[in-house]
Amino acid sequence: MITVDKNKKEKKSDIIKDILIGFLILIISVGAFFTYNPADAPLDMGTDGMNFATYPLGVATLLTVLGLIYLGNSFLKFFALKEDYNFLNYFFQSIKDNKSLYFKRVNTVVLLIIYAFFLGEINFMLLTSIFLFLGFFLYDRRDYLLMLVLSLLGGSFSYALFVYFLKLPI
Amino acid sequence: MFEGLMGGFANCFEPFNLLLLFLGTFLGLLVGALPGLSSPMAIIILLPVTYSLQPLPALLTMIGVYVGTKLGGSFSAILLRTPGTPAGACTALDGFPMAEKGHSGLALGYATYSSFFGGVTSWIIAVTCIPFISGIALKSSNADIALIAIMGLVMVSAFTRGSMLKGFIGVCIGLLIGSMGMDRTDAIERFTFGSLDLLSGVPFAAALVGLFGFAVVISDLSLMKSTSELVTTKFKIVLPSTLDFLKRWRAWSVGGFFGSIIGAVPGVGADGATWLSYGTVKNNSKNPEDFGKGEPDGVVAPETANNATTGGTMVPMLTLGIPGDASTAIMIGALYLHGLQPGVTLMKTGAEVVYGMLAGLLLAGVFMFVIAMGAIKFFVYVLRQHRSILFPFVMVFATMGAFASYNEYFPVYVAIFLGVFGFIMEERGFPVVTIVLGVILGPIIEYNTRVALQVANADWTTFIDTWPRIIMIGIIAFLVFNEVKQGLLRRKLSKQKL
Repeated sequence: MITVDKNKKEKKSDIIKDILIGFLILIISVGAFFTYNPADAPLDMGTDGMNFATYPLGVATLLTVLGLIYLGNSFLKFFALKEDYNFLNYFFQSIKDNKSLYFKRVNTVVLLIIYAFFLGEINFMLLTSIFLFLGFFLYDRRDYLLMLVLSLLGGSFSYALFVYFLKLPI
Repeated sequence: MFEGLMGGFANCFEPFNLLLLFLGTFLGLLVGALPGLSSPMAIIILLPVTYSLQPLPALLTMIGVYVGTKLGGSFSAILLRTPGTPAGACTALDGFPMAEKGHSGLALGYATYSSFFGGVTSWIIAVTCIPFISGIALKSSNADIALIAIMGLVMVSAFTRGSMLKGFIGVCIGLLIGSMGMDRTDAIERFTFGSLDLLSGVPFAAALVGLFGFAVVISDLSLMKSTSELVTTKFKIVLPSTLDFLKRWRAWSVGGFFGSIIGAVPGVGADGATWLSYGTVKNNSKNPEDFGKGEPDGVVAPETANNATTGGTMVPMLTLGIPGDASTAIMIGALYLHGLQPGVTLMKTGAEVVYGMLAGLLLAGVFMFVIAMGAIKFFVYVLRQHRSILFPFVMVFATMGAFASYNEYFPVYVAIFLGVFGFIMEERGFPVVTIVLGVILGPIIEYNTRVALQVANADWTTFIDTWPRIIMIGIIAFLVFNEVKQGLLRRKLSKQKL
């Protein structure tokens, strides 16, 4: 019984995610109509009967149609499960249930952005060693000595490979 | 053709190229053995290193990785029941029970033998087909090339896992990303959002690193807690006798056939080939009840099919510029990054690289066999290591892959953005490979469509004025119609269930 309830909850939170993805697709496709021509270039047709806007607008139109179908399908699923409309609760519950995983995912992205931001600003070997150490920590390693040794070795190896051998201008 | 191939072997036998092929195969086996890290990810890790190389050595390294991961995935499938790659899942069905019965060495032996055999079979098919198909493709006009590329995208959307709708949406997003930057015909900027960095479009390497590197790391964090309990502590590969292997001719011939054919169909990939081969061999077996309980044919068929896809995927990639799977999509990207133009003209402009890659494909199979036999204990040691050590290293290499493409920081941010976007899409069942193919094939479709229309004085009937073009449009229409029909049928069935 518990398994059935859990499956139902997962299904409901999945539908919410599908609806959100549907809106994301529509934002991209409709947004394309407003951003395809940032220089406000004239829309004169070429000898091929097309111009620079024909192709991206054609793709954006197709994506809008597909996005509407996807969103429509998701809403049909939403209304099909009519016994309980408390979908948002299930959605947030599923995030709450996987709090630790989401925490790691968000922090992985944050760590990557920080690493990219400081590339070229801080010594590459030091930055990479710190990044690796924080990465190990984020992924639940707590054997600090091994983490330190691996970070320093990894940082040195990366420096030797990318800066010394491949001569990347970091 | 024979001379070209001999030239390819001569190039491969240069010590530096041979060393890179060997190292690539070793890395492939290593990465393939680790659940969660697959061939595209391994190739992404190598991207920053391959920039500084000539095209052939760079691609040979990638070929080595590609071939190596195929077998590496079966190590963890047999010893852990956790396949290292999606295609290895099928091998676990009978490989793991064999290991549980104390025959882990023999299961690994069957896997190694079958992988090698599958690779050789598909290599023969590839070297036979490629010059023939390429000869026809070279006569193609711009309209043909545009239609071939559109057909490739539709096929990928149709045959990739999940629904065709999701495949199409992924393709369209890829097409939009591919259209960013200066228009190739009119030199007018599109979707640049006022950024000078985007004038030359989305950096291709950044798209690959983001969609196949960062997205996979973010996604695979869910595997972080899985522990690696090995079924046995004996890790020696025991090869079956030649006679025993020959007796299993049904399994390896079915695997070799399906692997080679399915590998050539864009989007299906090795996992489709392995399951189909396994199902066919099981259904035609005298003892189908033995499958799933440690039947060697259940290892031979999927493993042969898995490696047989390596040659199959090369056929559309090298002749038409249409990748068969995610790894070959990255290789197409690598061809671009090294100044080569993938597509119908590649055999003309880069024949040396093409034949070198084909020679490398066979040699990588030989290396795979030798390395697996000699270093299985090392791979099993790595198999037991926790991903918490590997992922930070993967991220450093992927970041460098994005940076080294332009020696600028902008591609790194693009890669992170696309990594998050790719993760979200992949989580909801939109295969990121469709996005990448859209990015690759979009500019080809647009440019060739416009040139074809210029030649035909803006007459769209140029796309239906020869029989091959009509057939291609027929295939596209059939695939779309069939999917719409299937979708309506599925909805009807689900309504009946409710």
